[in-house]
Amino acid sequence: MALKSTAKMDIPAGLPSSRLRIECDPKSLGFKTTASLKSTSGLIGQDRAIGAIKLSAEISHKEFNLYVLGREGTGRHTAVKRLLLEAAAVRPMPCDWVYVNNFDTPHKPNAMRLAPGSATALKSAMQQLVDDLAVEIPALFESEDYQTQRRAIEEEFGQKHEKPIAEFADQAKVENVALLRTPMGFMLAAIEDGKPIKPEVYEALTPEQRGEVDAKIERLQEHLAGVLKQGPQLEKEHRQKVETLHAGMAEHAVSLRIHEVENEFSKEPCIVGYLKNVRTDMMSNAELFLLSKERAKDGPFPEVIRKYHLDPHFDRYAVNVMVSHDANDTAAAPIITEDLPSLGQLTGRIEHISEMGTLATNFTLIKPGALHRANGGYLVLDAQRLLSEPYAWEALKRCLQSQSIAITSLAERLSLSPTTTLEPDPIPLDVRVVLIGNGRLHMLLQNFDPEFGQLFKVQADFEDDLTRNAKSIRALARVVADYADQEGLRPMTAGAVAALLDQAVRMAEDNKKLSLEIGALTDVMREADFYAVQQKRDLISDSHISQAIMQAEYRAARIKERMQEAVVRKTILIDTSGTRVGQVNGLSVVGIGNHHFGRSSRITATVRLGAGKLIDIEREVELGGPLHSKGVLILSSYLASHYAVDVPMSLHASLVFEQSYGGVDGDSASSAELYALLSALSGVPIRQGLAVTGSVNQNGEVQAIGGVNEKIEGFFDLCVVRGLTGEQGVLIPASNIDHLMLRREVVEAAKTGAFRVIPIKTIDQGVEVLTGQKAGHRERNGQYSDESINALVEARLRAFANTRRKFASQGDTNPDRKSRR
Amino acid sequence: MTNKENRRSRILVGASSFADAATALRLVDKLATIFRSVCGGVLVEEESILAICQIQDKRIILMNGATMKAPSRSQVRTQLNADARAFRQSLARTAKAAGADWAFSQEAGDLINIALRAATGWDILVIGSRYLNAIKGKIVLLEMLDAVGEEMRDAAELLARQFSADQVVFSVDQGMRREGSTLSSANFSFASLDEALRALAQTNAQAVLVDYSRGPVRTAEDISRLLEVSHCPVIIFGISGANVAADNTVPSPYASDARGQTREN
Repeated sequence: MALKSTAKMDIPAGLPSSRLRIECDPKSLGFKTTASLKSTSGLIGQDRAIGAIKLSAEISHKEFNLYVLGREGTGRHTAVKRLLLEAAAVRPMPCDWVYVNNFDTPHKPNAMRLAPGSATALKSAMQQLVDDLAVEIPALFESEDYQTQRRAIEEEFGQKHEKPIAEFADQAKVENVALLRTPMGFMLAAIEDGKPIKPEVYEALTPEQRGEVDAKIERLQEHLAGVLKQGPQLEKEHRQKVETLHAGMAEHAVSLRIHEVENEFSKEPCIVGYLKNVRTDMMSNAELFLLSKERAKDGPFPEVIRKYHLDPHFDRYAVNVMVSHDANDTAAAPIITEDLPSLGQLTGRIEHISEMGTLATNFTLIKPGALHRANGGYLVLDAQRLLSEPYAWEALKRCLQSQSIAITSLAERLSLSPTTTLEPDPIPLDVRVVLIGNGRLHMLLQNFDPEFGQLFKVQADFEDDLTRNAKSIRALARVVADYADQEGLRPMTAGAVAALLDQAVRMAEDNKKLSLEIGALTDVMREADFYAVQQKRDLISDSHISQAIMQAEYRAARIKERMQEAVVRKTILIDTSGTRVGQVNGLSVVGIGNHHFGRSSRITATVRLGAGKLIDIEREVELGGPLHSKGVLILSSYLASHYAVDVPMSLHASLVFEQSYGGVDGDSASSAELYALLSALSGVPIRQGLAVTGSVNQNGEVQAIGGVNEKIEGFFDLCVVRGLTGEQGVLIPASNIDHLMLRREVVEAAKTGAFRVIPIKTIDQGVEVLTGQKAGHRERNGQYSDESINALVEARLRAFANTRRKFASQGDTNPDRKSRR
Repeated sequence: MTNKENRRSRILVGASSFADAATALRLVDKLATIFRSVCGGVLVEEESILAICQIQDKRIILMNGATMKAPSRSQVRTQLNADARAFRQSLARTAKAAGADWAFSQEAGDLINIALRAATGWDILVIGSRYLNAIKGKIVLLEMLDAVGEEMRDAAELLARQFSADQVVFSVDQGMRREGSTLSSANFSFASLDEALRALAQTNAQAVLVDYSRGPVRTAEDISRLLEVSHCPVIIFGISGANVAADNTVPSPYASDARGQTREN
């Protein structure tokens, strides 16, 4: 197609430098240094989240647990801690909880709710009780009174059995029968010549004599069997009588000591009830105190000071304190943060000890979890960590639903439980759980876990930024000053605070906003403080802040510099001057960790006659993500709907990001791709000193994109290395003007006209800037203005359509197939 | 006064079964650590018992009063072999606890004679006998009046204390009762051994201690009668000087090769 030369339009001046970076004026802050500032509450711009936290912390209904979502560093943990402390301060101190032995069914320990401070007191009292009785009861059993009664019982029962034995022995003697002891038992044999009869002598007897011998032997056997059968019953009666004696002896001592403990805890009915059971058990098991006495004789310590309660035999009287509070403390509900929210750490665990080759346990081996410690108060957990721990999330939900703490081990859940286990009484649960996590996790839980929405009715959604105005600037200045003070940093000058706030604007990617990522700002302050110390300054100034920001950039810039080097050395081909047809500089953002930088890419378009196919080469080789493909499809729709609409689309075009071998996604380059295509169709070259960013819709409107600052600065850095020509710049969507917060070097270059930032609203506007030619509009006759870009594009498309029609009329409908032949 | 700390007593246990030996070892367990004894054991296969088992339709009465058919000779032998193993192991345990050497032998014959013969070179002989009475009874000293060994007294006191049992003294004064002699309720005086044995037959004893060198028990026959009426282990002191056959088949562990030695004849 022949092109008429037309006078090129100049490149527009672009945005004034004042629109490229809107800095904070230190004078507007109202102070000279942060040393003069008073402390604040430390929270700004989070009214929505604060309201939610307060609601969850104060409302008494169950299931109003809280999920706190927001970016890292926006003060979620600080806010939660501060607000929960305020709420906890007005709540009553919760009860103590202990586990004690269930004497009837030891594998089901009883839980007891006690007044605050009572748990440790009860534990000590029981230990003292055992120690006292361990000294007193053995003394009782050594007393003359006990010895006398015991001897009497032994004599009574001994004689009860001895009498029939003696009668048997007498009878056997009279009848000349001997009692023999064999390895298996007793045997009776007739006596002959003072000795048991020999077999040959027995055989020599007459049958009558043998019968007589056998009869008396059998009679005596029955007699002896009858005597021996009495043994077990007598033993049992003897044992019972001795136990009764022991119980009677112990009763007085036990009752006296237990009464003392009852007096101490008379106001706790559950303790009084428990002590009744202890009393009964102690009297039935008085021998335990005798056993301990025996062991004490072998020990190094005198009996009077030995800690008998440490003997495992007395575990049955121990008090396992699960949760205790100091009654002398100012009443406040607990706030527990569990950093390792595993199943055992959360709900508690039952430990085991090895005994005789097997695993055994008892109620003293129950260990409390975070839910126990937080009971009556608040439990703060990291959502990501909680969900990473096997079965922890399920256990937490179960506990919240049942409002009780049931201790289950992982081994039990996996059916790998040891031989003995416990079923302790579940402890009633009254806790408010606060999960802190990111928004994505919250969304996943909401969508895929129906119980989550039921149990966590409140969300505290932390803002990433707040509206920039004089009030918010001063408020944020106070907040950062607070953080600096908490971190023990040097005071900052107003200039430093202003520089920090500029960084907050930059982080917000919006010059009408201030980022609330206080964590990141604190990192800058800490590094700035380091430089101030190095330079022996008492104050942190704006230069220190700038140095900290630049040094952070520099530390992360290795890959960026290597990429730029590749472009400078023309390993990667990017033009920054001249003009080319069908080629445009696109811009993208590369993110590595927290560091992002802009990168230029050459986008080229080729066109020829075809069947209306627009090939996105990135998509063809699966390097293009769905958003990128969407952008390409939109621009192809734009093409189809704006040019030669009355003829079939007979274009075969291809678009590619040259020398791009990684994935490409997002539609921020769709306008650049469209410009390349329009250039290729019209045959009008594009100024290579300009780079383009912006997505396009089907109506040709250029839409806002992200990372506008990094993109502009990326291309600017490349132009600076090659030397600014005064005809370089970046086309950005007009709707991104409010997002500009460029580096000072870019602003300075714009001020001198060496570099331009040109806002664009439509494709037509953009194509005019890039080509220097009018885009053209449809006139009344339905045609585009003569010699305009649009006219040239339409003419080219019509030409393709006509050529295609000619081919079709010749019987070949697929020019592509023909061309391949 | 004998220095108890330096005393070493050699104790030999004789029994015709492990059930009997166990009752004796129970007592030796308590004596061994105090007297720092060395221990020996002899299991005697009583021929009379083996012979009796051959008589048809003989029955055994078990400790719980149940009866069963008497075993055959070979079954008794098999049981005795098992008893020997158990006796040996228990003896070794007892000796180890006392830090003492031990020796074991298995013989055949008459229990009392074999035990007395084996006891040459030993200080104390314990003849094991399982209890008939279900309730453990007293510790009985059977002694000649005014002829009491200190060692035997000490042992009796020790056992009474260890087992929380009463201690009773049966004194035989051979008709030479002294006028005006005072006897405590735990002391009984008898004119003869027969009288004492008759009284012992009516007494629930846990162990009977006698001094062979001082009397009133001086012969194997006396020991046999004593064993028959007491129905409990009999601890015989003063045995090393007893006039017995020199053919000692359970050498004292002080012999050079006797440490932990087992010998079966």
